Amino acid sequence: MHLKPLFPFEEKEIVIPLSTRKVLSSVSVSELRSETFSKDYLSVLQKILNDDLARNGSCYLESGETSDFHLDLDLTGKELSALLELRGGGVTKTLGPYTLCGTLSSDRRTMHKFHDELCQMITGKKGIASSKILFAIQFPEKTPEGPKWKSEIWESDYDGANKRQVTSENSYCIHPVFFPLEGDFTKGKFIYVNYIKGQPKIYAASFDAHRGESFLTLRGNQLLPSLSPKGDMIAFISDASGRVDLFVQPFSRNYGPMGKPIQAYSYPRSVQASPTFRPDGKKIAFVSDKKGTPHIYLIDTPYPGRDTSPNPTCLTKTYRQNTCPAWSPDGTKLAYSAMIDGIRQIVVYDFLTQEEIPLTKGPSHKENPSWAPNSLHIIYNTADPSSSELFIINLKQKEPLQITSGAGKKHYPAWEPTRGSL
Amino acid sequence: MKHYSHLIAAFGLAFLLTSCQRNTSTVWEDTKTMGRYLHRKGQLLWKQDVDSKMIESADEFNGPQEEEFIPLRDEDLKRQFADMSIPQPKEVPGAIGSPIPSIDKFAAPASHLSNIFQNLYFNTDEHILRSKEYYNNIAKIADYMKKNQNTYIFVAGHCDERASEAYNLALGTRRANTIRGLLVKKGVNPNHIYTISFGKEMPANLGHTKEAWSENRRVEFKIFEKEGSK
Repeated sequence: MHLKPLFPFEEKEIVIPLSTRKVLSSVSVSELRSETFSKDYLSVLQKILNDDLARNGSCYLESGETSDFHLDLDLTGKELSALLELRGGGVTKTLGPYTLCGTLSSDRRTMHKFHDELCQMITGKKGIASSKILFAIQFPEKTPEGPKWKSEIWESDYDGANKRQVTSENSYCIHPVFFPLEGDFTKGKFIYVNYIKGQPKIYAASFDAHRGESFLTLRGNQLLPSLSPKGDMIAFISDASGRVDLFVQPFSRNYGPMGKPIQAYSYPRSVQASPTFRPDGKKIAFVSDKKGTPHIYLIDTPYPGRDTSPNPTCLTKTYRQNTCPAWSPDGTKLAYSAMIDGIRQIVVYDFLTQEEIPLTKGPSHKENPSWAPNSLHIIYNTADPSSSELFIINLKQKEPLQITSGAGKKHYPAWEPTRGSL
Repeated sequence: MKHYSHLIAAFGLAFLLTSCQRNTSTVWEDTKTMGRYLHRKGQLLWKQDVDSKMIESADEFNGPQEEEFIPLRDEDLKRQFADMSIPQPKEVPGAIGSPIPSIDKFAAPASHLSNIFQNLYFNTDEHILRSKEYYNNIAKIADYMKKNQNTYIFVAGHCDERASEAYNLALGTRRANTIRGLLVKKGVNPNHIYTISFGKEMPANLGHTKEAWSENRRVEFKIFEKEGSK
């Protein structure tokens, strides 16, 4: 199958097995100095900026005068600004000012925003350091009958900092998803799967409310929701019909669900799982074991009054146990988990070359990939017997970075999309 | 005599026409009969001599699809006789106004029921029961539920740790629905059986051996006895 790229001008950026240094820009950064803040505090802020630069998939840090860019930081009082110089070209640009407040959680975000503007200047694309992550943490609760599993939804910065619990359902909550567009219904909210009444149902909650509400009327289990990037469809898995089928629900960001859910795909004696939309919303990739083992299939997104049959085409040919697909925001790639030499690794399918390229390696099982808005970074969770943590990786620098630690099993990460509004 | 022969001919014609006429009611009755006949014959093929399920209403036969979601066309559903799809109960447990409470009110089988509502186990990545004897357990559960019409159950599907979490959520749903389908085929009211999938989120055995995986690929039952309904 051949799909035309949605954004042909980005073809250079989708070549995945890139060697690192030659395609990255080197940046030297001056030391952050100020009389207003302590030296220790300044070193923390400096580290935040340096880490953002080193992880952004477009730059690497280099000391000395051979770097491609030099960033001269200036902190006057609480105002942070900078001069970015393209060495050799004599071109300079100014950043800021950004106001620091002395509170680390707040200043972290300011430094991330500062980096994202810097990234825009260097690469032409806004950075992803100020985006957020949603994920679930599972933990056992001691009861007289023995340990009872609980799970709540948490939010953090992209690097795992500023972690906070956003649901307090005292239930089992998993699989959070950001709304891609803000409207009257979706503003300040996200969706997730909640087992509070028994059967898992898709809930919507405000980031500040701690409890959500079910908003789809379909009976049975509602699992693995995915939102179309235009925000006009929710795809999910349900057994309303008695089989494990793929459904879509037309949706309005202002009014919520619109009309009846549509049964999008069903197949005898098989399970369907993990739908994900192409950015234009016209196709859905999902998992089905209709031919025996789980593979990833594509179908056209159904709509009310459809007159065509779902005609799934199998996308994955190389590896076994292909699950958890996630379509990149630029539409050119699909990340998923596949069994390679007995270990579930993250693999990227390139729609332009039709290649399936392993992105991760190593002994831990990896699953649930989710793309950053730049279509370059991916977050996923490991699934080891002893622990389950979140990692980020980018297609140009394939060294994964662990962003969580501590008690509880962290899983089902979702990277905040670039969200628009009305 | 000629006059009588015309009368007899007219009466005979009227009888023939009305005896062949089919109205909605008779079509429905025939469909019910055929459904029960096929069902019973299907079970006899497996040498299971059990009562067939009496379909009590057209709604139960057609399911809720027409009213609740836009279904695939019949040719796209690729229905198979062996893959009976039984729509979920209308009442949502724990919902406002629902006569069925949330899962908190459903309990693990009490000691006198533990021999009936035993866990059932599956092979790897399968939704077919691992052992033939588990089908006897299904029959025991069905007998109990048919005799105790106020019993409602949750069938919870679980998986081992080897596949991904997301896929296992779907597989657990499939396992729970397989057991639900078997119970309905044995005559249990489908509106008394709820399914739930936990995937691999709640293992029974925290080990990482073949034995542990084997114990985790299961369905469990939770029971609610509704007071006052028969």
